[in-house]
Amino acid sequence: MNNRKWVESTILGIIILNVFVMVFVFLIPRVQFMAKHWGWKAEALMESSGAMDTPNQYSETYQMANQVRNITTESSTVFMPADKWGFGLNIAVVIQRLYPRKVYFFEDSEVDKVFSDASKISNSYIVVNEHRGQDLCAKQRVKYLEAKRVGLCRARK
Amino acid sequence: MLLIDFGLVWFAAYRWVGILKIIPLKWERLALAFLFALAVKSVILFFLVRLGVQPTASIQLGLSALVLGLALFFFPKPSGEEVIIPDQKTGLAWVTWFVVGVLFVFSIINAWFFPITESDAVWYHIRGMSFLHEVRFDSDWVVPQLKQYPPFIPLLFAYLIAFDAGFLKIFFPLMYLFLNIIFYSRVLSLAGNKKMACLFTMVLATTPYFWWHGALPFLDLTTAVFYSIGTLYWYFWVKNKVEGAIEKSEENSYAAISGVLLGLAAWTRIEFLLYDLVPVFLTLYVFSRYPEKNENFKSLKLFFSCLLLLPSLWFLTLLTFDMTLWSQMKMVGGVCVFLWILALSLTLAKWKISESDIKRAFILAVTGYILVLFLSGAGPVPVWKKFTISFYRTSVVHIFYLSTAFLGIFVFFEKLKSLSEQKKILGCFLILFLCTHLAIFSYATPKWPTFSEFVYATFIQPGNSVNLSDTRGMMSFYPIFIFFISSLPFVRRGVINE
Repeated sequence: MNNRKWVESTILGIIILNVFVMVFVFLIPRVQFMAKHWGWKAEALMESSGAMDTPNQYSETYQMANQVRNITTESSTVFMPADKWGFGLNIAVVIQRLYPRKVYFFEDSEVDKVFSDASKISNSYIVVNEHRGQDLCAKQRVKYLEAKRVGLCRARK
Repeated sequence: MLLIDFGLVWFAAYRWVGILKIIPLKWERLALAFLFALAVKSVILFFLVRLGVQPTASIQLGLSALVLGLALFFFPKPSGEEVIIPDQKTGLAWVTWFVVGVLFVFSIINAWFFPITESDAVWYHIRGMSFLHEVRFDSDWVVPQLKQYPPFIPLLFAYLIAFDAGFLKIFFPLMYLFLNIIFYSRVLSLAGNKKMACLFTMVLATTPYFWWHGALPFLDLTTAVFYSIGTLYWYFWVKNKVEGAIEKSEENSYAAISGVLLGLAAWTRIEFLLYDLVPVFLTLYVFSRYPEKNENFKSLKLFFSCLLLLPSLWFLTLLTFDMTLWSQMKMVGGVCVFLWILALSLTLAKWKISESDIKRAFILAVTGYILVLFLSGAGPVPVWKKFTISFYRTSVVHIFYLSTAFLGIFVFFEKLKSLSEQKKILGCFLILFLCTHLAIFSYATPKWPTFSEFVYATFIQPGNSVNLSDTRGMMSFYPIFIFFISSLPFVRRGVINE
């Protein structure tokens, strides 16, 4: 094989191999995912498992955060535990979905002061899980959300 | 409204690119103007937020109209000369743009379909919302480390949110498309042959990692576009200077374009100010070998000021934050100060540098780095281990670029000693880039403490390391690497029947 053939064939081979990998690793799995989830709203897609090459690690956090978002208003203040959820709660996802609501986690250093002020306002909510938060609820019952083991209540005044 | 607003700034940027008179191809001018339009939008938003003015759609629209008005007033209408490439009938051009077009459309569909759920990208989204609604850069809702990242991508998100655009990832597929257009144009300008330009553009466009990041809302594709394209224009500056075939105005244009683009890379990912040391060092080397006859150093002044302006703005902003700065950020800030001192000494104090000065400075820099590495090596992982891991990663990370990395075999068939000086400089650039990459990741704390975990994450569970910072950072290397391979005489002879 002369120089011309060899160099050109190598470059073409590189392109073909690249296309092959791209089609089988990215394009086909993504097209399959899109076909299966076509017409879904962005909120529902956030709660899905994600495409094969970018699996969604935070689907459970999105389920919980989306439901809290639908119940509360943009001016609400939301308190919630950052741990003992039974799944890896991602703080960034909670803030992303609830912004511009003010979100405080029980583990935050300034939470007690904020809570004593905010709980006097009717627009404050507590997100509770199986282990934490119920003692901070007002007398009314905790409303359990569709997301597993998650409830929401008004803050105790 | 969004289209009108962006159209105004894009047209203003197109006008500016036109008067530089070094970019003869219309598509390349449009692509480059798009990148500059993004930069202008980010700077407008940055100053609005800095001044405490909420960047609402109407305010932005007014400022965009002002930018266009200024561009029309100050920049004369470009002549619109188009370079005629000798008619080379090749159906390959159609195939190339069909492939790029299809991949771009897939990228757009993916970016539109999938919402932002990737971990770092979620923070960029939060930052974008906080810039717009809180009108400040140091929102309490953002974790301290992410708060210190440069603002470019979050500013673009804030821009789109201000215009109620739901499609926040739109700029990433466009970055992918314009990278390919500019890359094609640069190879065409160098080789003067469409077949060469088509083949190597297809290599770049089909590299799966680039396409993948065209639909992911991270910083890295954007950084790679700015850094690699900036380097390509920098190369044309150096090449023409070495050949002595450049007018002053052209030299200044290349210096300004490459400076702005390399600065934008650091405006997106701040550690790229460290990677910018490579073109800075090689520029000084070239200027020491080919000193300016009238010694006004205008091109050097333009290059340094364009490169340092945006990262310096961000460092000044960081100083106003009520928080402790991340140690790595302080180190990069120190490099920024050093570059300003160097630039001022060279241009205003008219420091004269000789080749031997450059060699001494290089030895001093390497020694200084080793000292810093050992003095700061009190972390959980010993320095030697960090270096070994970084060396391993810098060597094997290329498997994620798959067969594109295989282009490197052509280097072994080339008579390197007989390469022209400018090509040797580009080759040195690539080697120095890898050395800088090695140095940066030897300094940083590795993700896993043991070497075996990295081997496992590379070959057994590649999904764990395919998106590590060092793998993503290597995206800036590949367009320059492919361009270098396309410039080799051995490859040229193999592709063109000469």
